[in-house]
Amino acid sequence: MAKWRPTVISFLCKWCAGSAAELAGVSRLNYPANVIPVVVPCSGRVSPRLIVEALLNGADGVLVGGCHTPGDCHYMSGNFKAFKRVYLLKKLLSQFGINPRRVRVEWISATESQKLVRVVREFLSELEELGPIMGDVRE
Amino acid sequence: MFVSKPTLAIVYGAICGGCDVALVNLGERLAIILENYDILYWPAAVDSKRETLEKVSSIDVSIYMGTLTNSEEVELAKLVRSKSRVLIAYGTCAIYGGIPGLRALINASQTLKEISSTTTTVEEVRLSRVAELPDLLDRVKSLIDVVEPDVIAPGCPPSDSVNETLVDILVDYAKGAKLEGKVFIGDPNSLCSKCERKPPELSKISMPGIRRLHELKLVEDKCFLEQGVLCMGPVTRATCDLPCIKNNLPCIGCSGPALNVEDMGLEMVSVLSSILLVEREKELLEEGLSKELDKIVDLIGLLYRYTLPRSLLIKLKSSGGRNER
Amino acid sequence: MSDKVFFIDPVTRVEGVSRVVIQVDERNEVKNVLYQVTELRGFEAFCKGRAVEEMPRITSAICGVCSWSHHLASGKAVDSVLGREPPEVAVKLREFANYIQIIDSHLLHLCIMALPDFVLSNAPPKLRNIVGLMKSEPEVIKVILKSRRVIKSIEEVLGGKPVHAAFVVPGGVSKKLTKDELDELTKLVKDLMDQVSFIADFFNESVVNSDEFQGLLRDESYRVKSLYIGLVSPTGELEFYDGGLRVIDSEGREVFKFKASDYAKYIAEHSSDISYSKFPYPKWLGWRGFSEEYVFRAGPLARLNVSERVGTERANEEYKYMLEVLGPKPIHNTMAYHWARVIECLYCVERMQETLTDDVSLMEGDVVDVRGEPKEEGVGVVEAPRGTLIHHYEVDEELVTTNVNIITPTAINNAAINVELTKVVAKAWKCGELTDEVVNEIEKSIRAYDPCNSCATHTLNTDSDLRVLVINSSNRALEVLSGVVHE
Repeated sequence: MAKWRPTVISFLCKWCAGSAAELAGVSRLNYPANVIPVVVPCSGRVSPRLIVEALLNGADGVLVGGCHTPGDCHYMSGNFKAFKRVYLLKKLLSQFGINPRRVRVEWISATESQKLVRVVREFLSELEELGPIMGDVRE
Repeated sequence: MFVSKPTLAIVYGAICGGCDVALVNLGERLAIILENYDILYWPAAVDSKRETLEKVSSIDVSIYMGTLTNSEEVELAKLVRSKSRVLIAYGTCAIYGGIPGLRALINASQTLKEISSTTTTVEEVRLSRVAELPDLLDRVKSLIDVVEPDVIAPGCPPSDSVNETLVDILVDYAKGAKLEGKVFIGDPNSLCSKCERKPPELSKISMPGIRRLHELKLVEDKCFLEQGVLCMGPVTRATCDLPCIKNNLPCIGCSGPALNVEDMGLEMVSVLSSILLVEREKELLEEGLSKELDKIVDLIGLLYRYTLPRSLLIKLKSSGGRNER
Repeated sequence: MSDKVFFIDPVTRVEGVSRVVIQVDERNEVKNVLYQVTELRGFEAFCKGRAVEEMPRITSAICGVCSWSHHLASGKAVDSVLGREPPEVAVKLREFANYIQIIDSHLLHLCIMALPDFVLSNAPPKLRNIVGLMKSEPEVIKVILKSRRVIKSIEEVLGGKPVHAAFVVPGGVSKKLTKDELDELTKLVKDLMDQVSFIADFFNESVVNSDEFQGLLRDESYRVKSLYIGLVSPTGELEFYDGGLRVIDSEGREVFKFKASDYAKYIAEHSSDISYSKFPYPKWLGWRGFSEEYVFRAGPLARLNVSERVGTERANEEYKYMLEVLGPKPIHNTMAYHWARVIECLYCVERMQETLTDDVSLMEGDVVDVRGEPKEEGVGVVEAPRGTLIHHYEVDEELVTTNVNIITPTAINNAAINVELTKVVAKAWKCGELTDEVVNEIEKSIRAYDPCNSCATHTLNTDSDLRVLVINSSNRALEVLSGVVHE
């Protein structure tokens, strides 16, 4: 039986993190296949509900990739909204007894393809430790 | 048309009694209902016992109030759905779990210590086994988690306008009108759509920080969010006449989610993130913003006070498969 | 050769969900009787980890019939945690709210739940209720239903919603009254005064003077010679909002008088698997099971027993008349609770009128005082319609609750209800079966307490060790297993 590998949905803004993903592809960087990229116009578009839907649909972890604060966001401050949303969502997950480490927000500029790959690998190894989402029940 | 008066049963889960009071507070309108229906069962007011519900073959209209917290209540909910032509989920507890829904994260075995019921008497009294209290559910639920009602009347308890509509429905039904599909009583839009405190320029709303109720003197006529006070108005269904806001306290979401809000807590996280300290984001940066957000000491108690059992996060936990009753 | 068990399920014309269990041996003799509250929501469990200033609007949901009482007791507990003293106007408004709460609940109980037993005692079960009253006493029902509108309107002026109000804030109330609101209240209270007087007159004529009621008042099986507890003012008068707690024994002697915040030195709670409601008991006596002289009673009769006098005119007259008929104090017959409720309604509406006409303007001055040094715990006590209500919160440095203890009056009466039920069932079981009549005889005893079952069972024991009580056929504690009662 194949070893379980975590599934990650990543919401990447098209201007920064999404472009970094493109660049990673073009540069033929080794980018794990169990991270599914979803490009969004801005990290600020990612609602907490969207993140939880992803978890409900089997994602073991969700990554939100946006532009660096304070000034890189194409829409001025969408990244700050993303930050606050993920911050509050993580607090909520803790209160629910669901491991908050399953959701992450990272700032990755368009040229930081290496950072993207590093982040993704780190996240996956963390999730391998945490185990599948289905087993994450409060003690 | 009904040959004799249609029957009405008012049935309870775990209640506080407020929905009964709301019905009695209909005043003269209550008399109209009592004239049009034969009250089969209503423990607060009428002497029928549980066996009446078990023996009757059908019930015309049932009103269910309360949260489902034990196995007996779940059975009763199913019994009443199967026998009733029309089932009304009355009050926020029945629809979303209500405040007792806050127990959705505390299972029965975590909180009830094993109570041994050893009976060591000469007369062999096995009272506990014979008259055992109903088993608590590990996760409390709303009626809607278990059966599908025909009419939904939200509120804690339902407001005058919801009650007026309900009385109309009941009277029409007694006179022979048919119920067209499912009815969800009340204005589905969010409270903000009706609130007199709504700031003129919605795109410029800004929360100056997080202020707990004891950290300020609440100002009348100013949007609570703009005072830094958490108000659930943006995500709450406007089935009431905003009595709390008019009495100078923020909305706490007792009518449940507005249209298109699937999960009140998650939606409110988004609302707060959109408006908190928007003019100072670049000054405060992530660290400053986190510090302010940390001042919300109890997210669940504020954001899910009435709807915890129906939250997507509870769904997520339940799909884990374990500890599910 | 085996025992049979009968259930009265549910007990009707009371608030909440409960049942009576009657265990009978093979000779059809009653072995055991229990009053079981079968619902449980667990407020003391899920109110941990909550922001303390939010507790008044959360604990209000313990009960929709006495939501204001919880709201106020909780508000007082929060003030106590924060070290705050509400300004005079706020206290007056809170007291006013307390009065309307008492009237609201008492009239609801009297009219919807209790009256059918006295006015329709010979009616079949199908008509022994509000529907029957509509036919036999249409004028009274009209007044009753109108009073619901008036009570509701008064509550809406004070707290927005009549049930689960938005009223109390830490250190005061949410807003001042406007001139229009004051005028509206004045008119409404005048209407209420007429309605309460009408109902009191009706009660005196049709209930007090009836053979039925007089008979019940003399029936030994409804007599419980218990201890009594209630708030009294510093001068020993009937009091609902402040003052201190007074306990008297079954002979009327004062046993203790103490500050509400010291309640835990005098009241302990016992838990057992026979009911989801706990059993508060006199700590200095210890738990002695369902024995008359060792149980507390709270509520209208208890309050009239522990008070020296009633501070308003008509109510005091009625009080003195009741003492003439039933006295001397303490009055032990549970049926007198109904009478006490009417007297309290008169008292409360008279006080409300006084408040609206006295010197302290309800429209001026601050309604909140935010000054105060927070501490780790706080206690808030009020007299709810059914008796003494205690909220006790412990908090951490972030003012988040770490421990919540709530003692409701129906829980306080829990043991006494069981004591009385044993007597009542023994008497009512003469014919050996559970006929409608027998059921009603039994339920009348419970109804007199006006139990609020939702209040009684808000609790789930979390980290307490439980003392388990095993009860044998003569209802005496046989064996006590494991641990200490958590206080």
